[in-house]
Amino acid sequence: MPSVPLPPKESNLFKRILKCYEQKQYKNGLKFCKMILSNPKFAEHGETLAMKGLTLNCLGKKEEAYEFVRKGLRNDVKSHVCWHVYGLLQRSDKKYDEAIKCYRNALKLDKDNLQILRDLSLLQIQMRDLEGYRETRYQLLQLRPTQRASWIGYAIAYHLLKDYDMALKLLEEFRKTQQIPPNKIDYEYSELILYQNQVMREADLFQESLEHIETYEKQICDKLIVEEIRGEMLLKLGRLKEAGEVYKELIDRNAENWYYYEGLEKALQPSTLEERLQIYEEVSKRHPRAVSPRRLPLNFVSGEKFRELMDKFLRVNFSKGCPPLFTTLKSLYYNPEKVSTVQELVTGYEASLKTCDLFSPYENGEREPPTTLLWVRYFLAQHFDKLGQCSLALDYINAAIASTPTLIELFYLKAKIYKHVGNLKEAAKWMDEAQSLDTADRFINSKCAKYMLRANMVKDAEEMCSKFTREGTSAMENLNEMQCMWFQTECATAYQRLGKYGDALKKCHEVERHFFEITDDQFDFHTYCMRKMTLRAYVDLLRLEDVLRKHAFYFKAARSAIEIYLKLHDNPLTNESKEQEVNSENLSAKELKKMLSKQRRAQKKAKLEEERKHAERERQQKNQKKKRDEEEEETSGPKEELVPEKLERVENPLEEAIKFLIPLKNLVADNIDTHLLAFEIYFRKGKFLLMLQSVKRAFAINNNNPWLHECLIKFSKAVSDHSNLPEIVSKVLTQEMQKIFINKDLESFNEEFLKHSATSIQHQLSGAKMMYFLDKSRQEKAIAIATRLDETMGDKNVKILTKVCEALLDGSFGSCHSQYEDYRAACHKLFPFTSAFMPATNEDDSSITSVNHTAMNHDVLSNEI
Amino acid sequence: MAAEGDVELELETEPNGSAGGADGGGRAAEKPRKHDSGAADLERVTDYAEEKEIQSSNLETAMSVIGDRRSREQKAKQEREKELAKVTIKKEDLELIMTEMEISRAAAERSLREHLGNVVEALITLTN
Repeated sequence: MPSVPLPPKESNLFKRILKCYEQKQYKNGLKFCKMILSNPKFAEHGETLAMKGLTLNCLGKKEEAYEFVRKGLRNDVKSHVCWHVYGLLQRSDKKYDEAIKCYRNALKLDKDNLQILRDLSLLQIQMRDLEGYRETRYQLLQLRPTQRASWIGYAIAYHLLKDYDMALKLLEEFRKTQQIPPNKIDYEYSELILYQNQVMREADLFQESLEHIETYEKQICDKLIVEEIRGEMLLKLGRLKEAGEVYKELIDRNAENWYYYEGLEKALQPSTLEERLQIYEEVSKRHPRAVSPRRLPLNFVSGEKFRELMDKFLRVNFSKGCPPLFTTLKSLYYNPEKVSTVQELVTGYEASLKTCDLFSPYENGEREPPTTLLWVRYFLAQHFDKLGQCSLALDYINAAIASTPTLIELFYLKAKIYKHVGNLKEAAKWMDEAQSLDTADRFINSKCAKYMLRANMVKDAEEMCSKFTREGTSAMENLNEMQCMWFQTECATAYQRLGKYGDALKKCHEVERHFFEITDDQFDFHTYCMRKMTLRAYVDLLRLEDVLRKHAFYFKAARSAIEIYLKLHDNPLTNESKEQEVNSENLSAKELKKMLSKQRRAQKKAKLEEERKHAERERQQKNQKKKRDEEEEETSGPKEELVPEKLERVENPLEEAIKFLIPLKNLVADNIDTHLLAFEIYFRKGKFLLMLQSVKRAFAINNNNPWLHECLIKFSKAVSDHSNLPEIVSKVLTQEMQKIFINKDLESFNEEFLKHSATSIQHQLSGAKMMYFLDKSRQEKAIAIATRLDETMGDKNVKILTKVCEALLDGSFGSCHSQYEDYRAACHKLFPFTSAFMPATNEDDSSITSVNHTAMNHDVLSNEI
Repeated sequence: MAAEGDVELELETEPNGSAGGADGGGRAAEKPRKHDSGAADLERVTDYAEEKEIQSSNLETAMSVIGDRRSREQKAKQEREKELAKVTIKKEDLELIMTEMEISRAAAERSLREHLGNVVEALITLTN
């Protein structure tokens, strides 16, 4: 209860203040506030002060807002209005935990206040406090059983808590109250039915679901989903004949949906290969232009039949001129037999088309147009590129280019081949050529920017993107505003390779902020979706947001950030001026003078640049503020600016790394790299049990992973080096490590690892590194093992050989320059196009000179706790 | 691959200039945060609008069903909590878990209680 009740005149004013706030007429609201507060009797009226604060917040005056609200609260602690307002303020700043506390306080003072309960429920679902949400929803239902949203909200709470029984009861009760006549189609009712059905399916109530969908079929707007559900449920109930009919109809609707074919096969249960093929044959007869019934059989046939079907498929598509042909067939390339069949067929076509314009010299027929040969060559270039035979691939693509120098796809592929081969500068050059052929095509423009980033040409990439970004802002800023995460993650790794850690971290944080915003954006949908009854989409949204940071973009940004923070922990950046102070002691007077004047010039330049940027920023902010004032939109306050210099000199890099790590541990626990990165962090923190957790989890995923092996050895050594661990910790460690190391000493453990994967260069490299790590006197032997290139080694590809070169250079094997040179020369013979292996006379080898971009296993070796 | 008419899908209906030429460059009135420009509209819809009402005569039966269920849920929860509270745990064990595994007090306590106070067992499970 408010402490001092307002007399009628003021109380009316107060009501008008509330109305003004609801209708977003903030200036008027402030006027009324002033009218109450200017009266000396009510100058300290808590609730009015609080409302004034809230209104000010909507006008963007955050600090004043907080002042007034806090003042109001202090004056009137027992007012639920004040607490409610404080909660709203916190909410607008995204401090959801604090806001919940405020709302709970408000509820203590006014138990049945609907508005507060509603706001609290929104926050609870936002923070996924499902049990709390359910409680609040129950209270709302009790207070307002006639309101739609009460029932729906309560039902959703049970659904999310997986209590399907209760959810279905509530939905059914609610559905009964919706008196929609059976011949009328109402979109909201249709969505309700479909939502109800979804809950039934999740509860595995297939029979009920089928009956339900058939009963209400006529009133559902989304006819397609009705059929799909019928098909699925009929299959689950074993009524295969009927299911077959449904799927045949679905295929007639859309012959390119692979799920329908899956369903059809499950329904018809063909027992032989011929029967299986027959299914596709029939569909193909009814839909002669459909691609899927011709493509899908290639997945499960083999031998002669495969050759026959593939021959047909390829000819049709080459004649037609289908650019993505290789892409559609790429998934078959795990099977070496199929690969060689394809190679035979297509090289045959090429030879034949060159001479007689026919697919085969033994046939007669209409001659193929010259484009057919073009597409065949294009295909062959992609084929050999996939198999790692780069020179052959380049030959074919160059032949194609010679015949058709204006086709973008060809240059795009040529750039790709150079990328795979490891010559990123050439790749960027050819991609630039490709985009110059059509500057209105944003796809190829973006690809070019990406290839430039891969070649560490950051400025050029930004310029390339600026051809399509908004005028008036820099490309980087606009791309950030547009949440263009592919660019930001690539840019981050480029900066990382160049050693510009501050800039890289800025990009990583920008990506993290996007994810935060996406999570935050769901807030408005909690009420909106319930109002619009689009419940299936709503639940999908909630489930998406739950696993949002599983996305590859987040993983990339987090990985880069963690790697950089680990580096910064190992080699922290010092203040530049401090370094130079130290140096100046050793210089002569003349040199000192020169250096100082150079410094001064550099500082002046930096200052001018800073001032220019500042002026630019101010101008933009002024524009934005003008617009903001015009629209009186609610703002969430300016975000703290990301300054590269500050980011790379952060106090506690390991803690920052952990912030990026936690979502990975929760959501991407099936990727072994998550745990290995976690290990590297905890290793430096000296947290033995967390190290144990990381290796245990990694071990469970793949116990023969090379990086894991290195981590295990370092871990074991660290444990034995630290004799003063708490007793309990030692106990746990001994017991659990037993399961991994099985009483072996480290040398034998390493030997076994080497023996187990004797034909894999990756594994030999790790084993060799550890051999040197455990005993520096075995350097010769270790290097010999790592640099094996004989025939038996199975994975001789550019990536892995580059890794070996990097290891030889970064100290993992001590100093071994001559061995590195020998190895490099040998690699060059195998892969003449790769920049990393070319003799040092070549300028800027971005792959070797900046050894900054390495997997953590290299640098970690030189560090001990 | 070549895009003929650049049709930009935007949340606001704005006059977008040339169909085939540069697109992003020519946007006229910009809002500072474009990607959630729909949020303002959502605000207007959701703020303090009237909720739809339902007519029902059978609310009582439905409500009683719910009431029964809730009391059962509450009881089950209380019993579980009572069981766990019976377990005695040592303060230093709790703090060891919190430091070593970097988890909250609540999570550490729960884990210790579920393993009947045996800190080694609790840690082994936590490192799984």
